[in-house]
Amino acid sequence: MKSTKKVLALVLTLALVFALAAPTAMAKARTTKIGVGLYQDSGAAVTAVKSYLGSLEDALNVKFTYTVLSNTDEAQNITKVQELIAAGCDGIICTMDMGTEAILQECADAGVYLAGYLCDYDTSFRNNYDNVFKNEFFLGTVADGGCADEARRGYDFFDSVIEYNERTPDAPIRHVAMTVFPAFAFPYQQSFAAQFVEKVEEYNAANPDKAIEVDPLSDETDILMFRPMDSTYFSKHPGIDAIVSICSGSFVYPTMVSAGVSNTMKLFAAGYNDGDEAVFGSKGAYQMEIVSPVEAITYPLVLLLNKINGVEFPDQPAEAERRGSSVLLINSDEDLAKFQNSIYLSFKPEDAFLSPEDVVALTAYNNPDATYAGLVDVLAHMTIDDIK
Amino acid sequence: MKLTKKIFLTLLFPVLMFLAMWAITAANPACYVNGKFIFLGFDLVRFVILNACQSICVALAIWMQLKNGRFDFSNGAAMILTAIIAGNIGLRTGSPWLTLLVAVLCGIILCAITAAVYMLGRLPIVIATIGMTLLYESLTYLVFGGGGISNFYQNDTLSIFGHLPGIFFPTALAMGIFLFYSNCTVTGRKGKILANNQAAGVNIGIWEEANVSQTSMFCGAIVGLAATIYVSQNQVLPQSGLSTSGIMFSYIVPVYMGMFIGLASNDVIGISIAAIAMAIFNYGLNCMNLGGGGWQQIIMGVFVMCFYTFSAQLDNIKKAFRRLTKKEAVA
Repeated sequence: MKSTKKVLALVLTLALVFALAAPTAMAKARTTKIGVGLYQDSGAAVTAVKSYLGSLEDALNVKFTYTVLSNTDEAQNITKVQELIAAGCDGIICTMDMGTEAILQECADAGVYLAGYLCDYDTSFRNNYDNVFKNEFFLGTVADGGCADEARRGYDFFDSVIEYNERTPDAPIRHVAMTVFPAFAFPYQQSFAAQFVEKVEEYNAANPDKAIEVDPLSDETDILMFRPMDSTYFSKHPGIDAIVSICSGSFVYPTMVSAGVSNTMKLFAAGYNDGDEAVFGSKGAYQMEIVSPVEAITYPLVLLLNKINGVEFPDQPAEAERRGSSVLLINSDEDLAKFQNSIYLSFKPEDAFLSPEDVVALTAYNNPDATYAGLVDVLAHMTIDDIK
Repeated sequence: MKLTKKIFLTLLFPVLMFLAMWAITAANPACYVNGKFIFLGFDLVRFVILNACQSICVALAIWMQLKNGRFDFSNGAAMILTAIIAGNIGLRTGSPWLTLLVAVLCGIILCAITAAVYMLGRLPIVIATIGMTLLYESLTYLVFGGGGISNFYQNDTLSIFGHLPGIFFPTALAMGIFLFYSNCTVTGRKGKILANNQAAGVNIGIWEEANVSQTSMFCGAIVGLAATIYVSQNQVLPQSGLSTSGIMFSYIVPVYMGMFIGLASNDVIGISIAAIAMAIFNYGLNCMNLGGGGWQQIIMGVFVMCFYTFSAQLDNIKKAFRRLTKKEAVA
C-alpha cells in the first residue's frame, strides 16, 4: 500500500514537472498582436483591408484585431485604443487624428506603438508636432494621394473631364458644378476645387472654342453636410452636364437617380462604393472614381513590426514622417476592367499589390537589406496601371 | 360634419403650408437662379411625392402599433433588415416584384418574432422592442456578408417602387392594409379600447394576445412595403447602437400631426396629408439652402412644437375666443 502511494506520488510529481516544463520546451515565437482602428465597420474597403491583413498573419506571425474609430468623438477614440491595449495589442494602426496626444499617452503608459493609415495627421502635424511626430511611440503615417496641401486631386478631376471630352467628342462636358464636404472635416477639399477651377481657366484660355463653364463653389448649396445632396441642387445649377464631386459620390448619386438625371448627367467623384461598377463609364453616370489602395497599410504595419521586434531600418528617419501613397484613379472602362482584378473588388489576397513574401522582405527584422526608402518606394507603385 | 367642410379642413393644412412656403421662398433671393423662381416646378411635385410616400408607409407602421397601445421601437430595425434581405434577393433575381414580396414576408416574420418575444417573455413593450432592435441591428452585419445593399437603387428596372409612378403602388397598398385592419377586423376595432386602457380592456374580455399577434402581422406587411421604397431610394448600410430608431423617428412627425388633421376625416388621410405638408415644408427649406444642418433642425423643431401645442390647446383656444367674442358683443 505504501509503495503504491509512493509510486502514485512519484507519477504526480513527474506529471507536475512535465506540465511546468512543457510550455518552455514547446515555446515558439510569440504572436504579435496589432490593433487596427478603421473608419467604418463594413463596406468593400473594410473587407479588402481585412482580407489583405488576414493573408499576412501566418507569414509575419501576427494577429490583427479591429475596431472602429470616430471622426467626431475624441473620447470614443481614446476608449477604443484603451480597449485594444487591454486586448493585448503590441501596436496600433489608427485612421483618425482625433485625440492623438491622449491616445499616445495611453500607448506610452502601456509600451504600445502607434502608426497612421489613410490619414495625414494634419491637425497634429500643424498644431502639435513635438508631442506627436517627435513622440517615440508614434512611428509615422501614410495618407492616400499625398498629405495635406501636397495632394493635387483637383488636377485629377480636370484630367478626367478632359479625357472624357476627348473620348466623346459628340457629347462633351461643357458645364460643370461641384460639391465638397465642409472644411472643418475635410480642410483640403475646397483647395482641390480651386485646383480644378484653375486648370479649367487655363484650358479655356488655350481652347476658347472648347471652353468649360464651372459654377462657382457656393457655401450654401455645394457643401454637403454629410447628408445626401438635396434635389434642388439641379434647379440651383441649371444646365449642367456633370458634377465634380470632390466628396464621395454616394452623397450625390442617389439624388441624381431620384431626380431622374442619372441617365443624362455625368458624375466625377472621389471614393468608390459597392456596386458603382454597374453604373460606371459607358454603362452609366460615373466617369471617375478615386480609390485608396488598401495595401498602403503595409507602411505603418512594417514600421510597427520593426519597432516591436527591436529593429530599425539603416536609413530610418529620426522623427516620424507622414507619407503619401499613390491612388487608384479609375476614369475609363479599361481602368474599371483592371480595377475588377484588384483586391478591393475581388477580396482575394492574391490580387493584392504585395504578397506575404513581399511584405516579409520589406521588414528590417526579417531582411537585413530592407530599407526605409524601399518601403516608401512601394507606396508609389499602387496605381491602376500597377494592377497585374 | 358636412363632406365639403371635412374636405376643406383636411386640405387646409397642406394648402396653408404651400402658400406660406411660396410666400417665404418668393421673398428669399436664394430661391432665384438666373432670375428664375425655383420653388414652383415639377421638382416640387416629384420631391413631395417621393418623400411623402416613404413617410406615409413608415408613419402608418408606427401608428398601427401606437393605435393599439404599444410603441414598437423595432420597426426601424425591422425595416432596415428587411430592406437588406429583400434588396439583395431582388438584386440576385432581377425582379422588383419578388423584392416586394420578399420584403412583405420578411417584415411580417420579423414583426411576428418581436410580438412572440413580447408575449412569451412577458416583458414590458419598451424592453422587448429595444431588445429586438438590437438583435435585428446586429443581424444587419451578418446577412449577405454584412455589406448592406448599395446598388439596388441604382438599377432603374429594380427600383421602380422608389420612383414615379411605381411608388404609388406600395403606398396605396400600405394604406389599404391599414384601413382593412382598422375597420374590417374585430381585433383592429377593439384595439382602441386597449390603447385607452390596457387593463380595463383585458378585464372586459379583450384577448390582448390576439391583438398583439394580428397587429404585428399587419404592421409587418406595412414595414415590408416601407422597406421596399427605402431600398429603392437609398443605399442601406448595416446599423448599430439603436441608429435604426433614429431612422424610424425621422418619420414620426406625420404620425402626431396626422392624428389632429385626421379628426376631420380619418387617421390614414390625416397622416398622408401631414406627410405631404411636411414634404412641402422641407422642399421650401431646401430651396432656401436651409434643408440641412442646425437651422433645419431648429426650424423644424419649433414648427412641430408649435403645431403640437396648438393642437393640444385647441379647446382652450376656442373657449378663449368665445369669451372674447362674447365680451365684444356685450360691449
